[in-house]
Amino acid sequence: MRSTNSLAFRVLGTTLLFSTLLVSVLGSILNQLLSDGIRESKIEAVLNESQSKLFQTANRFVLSEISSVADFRDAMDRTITEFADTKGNERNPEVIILQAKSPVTRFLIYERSTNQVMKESIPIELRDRVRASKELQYSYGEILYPTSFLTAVPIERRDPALIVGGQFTLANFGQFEMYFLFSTAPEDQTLSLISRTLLIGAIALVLVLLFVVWVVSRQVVTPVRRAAEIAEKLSAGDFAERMNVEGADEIARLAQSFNEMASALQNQITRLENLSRVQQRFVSDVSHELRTPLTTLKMASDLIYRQRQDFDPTISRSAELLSAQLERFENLLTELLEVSRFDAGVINLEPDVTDIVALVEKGVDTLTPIAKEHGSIFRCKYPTEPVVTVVDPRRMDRILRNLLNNAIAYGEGKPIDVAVRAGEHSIAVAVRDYGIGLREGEENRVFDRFWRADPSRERTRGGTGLGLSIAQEDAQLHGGIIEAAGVYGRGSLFVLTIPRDRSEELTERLFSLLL
Amino acid sequence: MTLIMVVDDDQDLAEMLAIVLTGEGMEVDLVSRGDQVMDVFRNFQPDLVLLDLMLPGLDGIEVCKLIRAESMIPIVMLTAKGDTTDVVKGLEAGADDYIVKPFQTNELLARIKARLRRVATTSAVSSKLEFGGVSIDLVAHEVRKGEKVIALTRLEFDLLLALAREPGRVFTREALLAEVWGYRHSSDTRLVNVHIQRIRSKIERDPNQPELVLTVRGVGYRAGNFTEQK
Repeated sequence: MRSTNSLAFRVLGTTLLFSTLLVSVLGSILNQLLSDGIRESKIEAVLNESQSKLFQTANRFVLSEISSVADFRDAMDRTITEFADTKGNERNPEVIILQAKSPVTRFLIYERSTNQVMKESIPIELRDRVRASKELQYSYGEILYPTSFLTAVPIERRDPALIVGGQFTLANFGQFEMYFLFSTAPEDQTLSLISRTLLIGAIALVLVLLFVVWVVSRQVVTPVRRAAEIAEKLSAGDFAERMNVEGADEIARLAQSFNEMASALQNQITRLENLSRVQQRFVSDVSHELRTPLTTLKMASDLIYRQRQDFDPTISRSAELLSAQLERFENLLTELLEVSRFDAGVINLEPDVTDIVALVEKGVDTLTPIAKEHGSIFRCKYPTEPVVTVVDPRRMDRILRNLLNNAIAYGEGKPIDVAVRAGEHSIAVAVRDYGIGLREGEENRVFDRFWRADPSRERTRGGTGLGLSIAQEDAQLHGGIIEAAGVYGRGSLFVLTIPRDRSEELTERLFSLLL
Repeated sequence: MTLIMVVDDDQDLAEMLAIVLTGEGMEVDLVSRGDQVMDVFRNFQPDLVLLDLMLPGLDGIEVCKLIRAESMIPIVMLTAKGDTTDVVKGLEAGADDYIVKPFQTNELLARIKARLRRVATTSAVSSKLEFGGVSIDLVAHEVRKGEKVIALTRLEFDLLLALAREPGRVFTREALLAEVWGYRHSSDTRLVNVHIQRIRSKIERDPNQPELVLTVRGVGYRAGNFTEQK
């Protein structure tokens, strides 16, 4: 679930990133082109208009008969007033007429402007260019409207504008500069409208793209998710589920191969299960077939054994050997059957509340006579409180007996230490002998089936060679482990550790394996 | 003379069993087929049946049920499989005890003798126990529910009696095994559990909600509300 979700999110994230990048680049280029176009056409129109206005104005002065300064002033005022009157039409500019600086000045510096537009509106750089050229010059700037005299702020309003300037000359009055200040507010509005529209369009485009990608990714992700769900079921052992195969696309091929894989797995597992059933059946049959004659053998052997004193010594000894070997054969059979049950995985634990200390004590008590025969004694160290936990008591008992028997068999008649410890999460039993011990690397091999440290010698000890292996399997059934350590010639240590809760991992070690 | 009926299809084992049992002063009838058991049984009325579970003709479990339908004599199963399911099936069919092949001769004899022995009931203070409409007659070895006589095997009788004698006491399964079956150091709880179920199915109104033989979780069993009568 988690992985498929993140796949869809990853695709969406990538789409968002790239589409945003692409749309913003395209959008800004488009925006730039549009605004450049609008500005250029504006400039062209403005230059034409300015040219004609400048020409008109210059002509008017030339045609009107100006003889005095007063006439000139009147003509100037009229011109400005006319321009001012035509204001209100957005296309009409504010106008400023300035007297150019001239070397010979017979009059006062003369300035006029419509609507009291301040002459500071005109950039100095533009004035320089206008004075230096006969052509019209233009520049972007702002129209500055003055405030009333009463306020402290000198400028009341600024309008963005395209400012065009040119010169004309009046005989007797010298050189004049005339500036037309065209407000660019309408164009700016258009431009901002365009960029707003572009932005909205871009966002909408990205959203639509995201939606499309989401839909597409769902089409891909859904079958993938379904495959994942079925795979989970397969791994949980449910082989009934299959994917739907629709069409002939890649998804259909995925589904088909997936189904083929599931079928192959199912067949394989069924085959193995059958094999295992046959094996189990065989073992069970062998068990039955062997047990009945073995029973007869044992009873006959028991009968002879009990009357062995009546026979001559060789037959009497033979009866003893027969009886002992039959018992060994029986043990071997029992343990082989147990091992085959482990292999078939058909073990059922029969858990019960059990006092481990009591179980160890019982095992030690039962085996003390046998230990004495070998010359060993048990030295025990138990906690004062009972150590109660839920285990299969029969199996736990078998583990302990295996460990104790092992210590007796390889303890060479030296004392055997037995200790129980209870931790917060686990319980451990340690059995330490001071006999033969283990060589380097034998710590793990002791748990191998039929493994013997010294094949020629140790067969005489009578064990089946399966005891520790079975003990280890029993320990693992309880979620625990048996660990071994040994020094050759100085004895060995076996530690059984089981968790208090069978479902939990073993985290504690209550005994050190260092000897 | 005690008569033991040995039902086993293995001739050699049957013969060996006969040798051993005869040596103990018992008489033995040998039967090798499951479908012949009932004829022999009716003709000779044995004191105890040693019954192998795998038989030609008729399965041991079925044989066990047939015998139980007619008689409450002790049945000890011989089984080559110590698996829980087989053992429980046999016990549910009415066997009193089981022994797994291969067994020690001594162990087999001990079990047979334990099943043949009567628990000394006459030493009890009272001769009759009564509870919840069920009465136990210690002299006649009879259990009645109302007026109806309930057929219990000896072992079931002994088990019920052990519980009924000490109404306040909670018996562990080990204690019951020692007291009723005569086993020491045994923790075969299946034996006890199945027998308790069998008793319940015979005397309880609803065996799934027992009122007379109660389970004490994690410990064992105790009797319900017994009242004693002189």
